[in-house]
Amino acid sequence: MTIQEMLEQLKQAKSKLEQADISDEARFDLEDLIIQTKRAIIRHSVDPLRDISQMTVIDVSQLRALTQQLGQDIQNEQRRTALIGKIIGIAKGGLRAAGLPLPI
Amino acid sequence: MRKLALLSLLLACLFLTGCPRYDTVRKLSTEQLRVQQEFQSTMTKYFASMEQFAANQVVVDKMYYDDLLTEDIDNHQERFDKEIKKIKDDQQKSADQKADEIRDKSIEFGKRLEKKRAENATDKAELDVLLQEYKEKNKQILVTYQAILDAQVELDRYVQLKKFDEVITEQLFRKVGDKQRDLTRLFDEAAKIADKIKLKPAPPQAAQTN
Repeated sequence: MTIQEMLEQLKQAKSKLEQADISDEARFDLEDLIIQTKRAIIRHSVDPLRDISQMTVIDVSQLRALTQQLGQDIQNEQRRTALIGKIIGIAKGGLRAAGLPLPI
Repeated sequence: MRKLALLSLLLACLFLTGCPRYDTVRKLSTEQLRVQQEFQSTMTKYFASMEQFAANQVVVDKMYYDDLLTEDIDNHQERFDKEIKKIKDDQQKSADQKADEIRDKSIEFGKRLEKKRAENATDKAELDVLLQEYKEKNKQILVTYQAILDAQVELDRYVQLKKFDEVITEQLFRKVGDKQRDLTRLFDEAAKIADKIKLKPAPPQAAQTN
């Protein structure tokens, strides 16, 4: 039985008690129970938010550290390619000056 | 001279096999980065909408809580009024006894109302806390995704970076680049011929004679 179904049954029971001219005390208690049930429905309607707040977010500290390392490696690679470019340029110039044919 | 020719051959192989691979990887990396950036944008908008929805729902729930509190108080008020009437109507009690009982009942009723209002305030405050925690969690997820995206940006930067072997080939074999397409075509044709040779049916054998 769902909470909604339970609430409906409580309301029906209240209606029957009223028709049967039952004591005020019993009617008040039932009314109180209905109100508390309605309150419980609202309280549980936000349970998914509770579940979300319990979730743990993935740890990305390692990712950040490795990203920084890669940044450093990129700088090194840029320096290396610049150096190689210069060396090849010098070598080609030297070959031309010596009158030797280039490989290609 | 032979060594130079060998070196040239090796570097040519590096160039011919290396460059297309880099291009494909670079295109994929660019596209992946674009998709991730758009996904981040969509996710941010989605979270904002859901947070607004949750905030609206909290307002509605609080109103509902207040309505229930009013119902609850009315119920207790009615019960209290009946109890007071019963005390007043009791012929066997003295005026002082009735006054004492009414005073006690009033104090009890006041405390009950106070408790009900406090519970209502706690329930409403809990909604605010949950909403805040939800927003905080969304924020954490977005910060995490930003870190993932930052890493992807850096990876893409590395992928797009001209590697030293490319620099060598560019510097030494620029002329070969134009011929690359022709060479690829030649490789394809050679492969097709090889396939045909492989698939060629076996020659018919001569019939055996007794």
